[in-house]
Amino acid sequence: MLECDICHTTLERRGTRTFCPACLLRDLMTDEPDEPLEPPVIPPPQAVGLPQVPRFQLIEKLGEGGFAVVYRALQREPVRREVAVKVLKAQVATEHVLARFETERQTWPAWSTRA
Amino acid sequence: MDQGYTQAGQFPETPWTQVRQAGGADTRAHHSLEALCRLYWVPLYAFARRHNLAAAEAEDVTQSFFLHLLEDASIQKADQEKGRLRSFLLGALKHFISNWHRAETTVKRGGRLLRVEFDTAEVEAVCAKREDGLSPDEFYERRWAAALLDHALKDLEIEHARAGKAAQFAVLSEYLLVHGKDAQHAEAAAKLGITEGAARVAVHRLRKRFRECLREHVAATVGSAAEVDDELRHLLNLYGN
Repeated sequence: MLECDICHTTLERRGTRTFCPACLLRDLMTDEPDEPLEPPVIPPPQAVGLPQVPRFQLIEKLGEGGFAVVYRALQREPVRREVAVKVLKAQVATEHVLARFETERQTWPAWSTRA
Repeated sequence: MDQGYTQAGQFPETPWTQVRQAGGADTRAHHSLEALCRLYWVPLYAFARRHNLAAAEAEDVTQSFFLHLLEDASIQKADQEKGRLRSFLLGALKHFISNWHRAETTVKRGGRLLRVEFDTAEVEAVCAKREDGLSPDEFYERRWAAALLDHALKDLEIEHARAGKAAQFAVLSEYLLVHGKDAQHAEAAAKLGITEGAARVAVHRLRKRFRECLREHVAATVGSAAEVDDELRHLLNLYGN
């Protein structure tokens, strides 16, 4: 005769499955009546070897040019959304390149708005 | 009726209150009684078995008892009873067994009897075990609790089948019966191809509906809303909770 490990009540058998009626009833009577909140979206894990960027979780590399690498990423704040992140290569980050990058950065939101 | 709990605005009419009001005389009450008998057939049979009746004899007694209830209008005696069908039927069966003469009643087998589908081998396997130390009354009540759970589970299965979700129910029902709130949602999620969070929500909804079905079955056998909660507490107390 099979007993429940927890309360030693004789287990009930239904087909191939067994269960403890006492524990089931106790759980049913004490369950939280309200629906649990939808669980937060769990982002995919940070891929190994990708750079760490504050407020962004880099997911995968999309492409690479002479001055920078573009990644698919998850922005965490101020809103959660999927974005593309362009990361300059350290070895080419001269003043000239940084200025060009800044100009490009200023231009991108306008592109998004137009799109 | 003594308490008038079926009046508008109060506890809704249930199969048991229908039976009590009509005394088993009208067709609707008769059908209600048959439905209630399906819930109680196995518990009463189990009582008869634990009362030291052999399997065939216990089956005869149970069938004859329901025939007696359905055709001899003895349910009218229930008018004198307050509250639960569970206690009424057990008392009536004890009285019936004490006056039962097999030779007189077995001839009725095969006639117009209430036929209840159940897994004889499964019920017998439970009835044959005596090491639980339960008295016939206690055994009856444990089987009644198990029958309630079975019926509630069956309701859920039918609801899901009608909604085209039989496959989903087949997976989730495994986790419905798992003790504890840390059921293996990841496993359910993998089987259903959904996220673990979605599986957790699905199991929670299933448990909630299961609880409602259980409550509906209990409500069908009592006379007032307050008695539903009493019966549910009684269910828990059966296991020493």
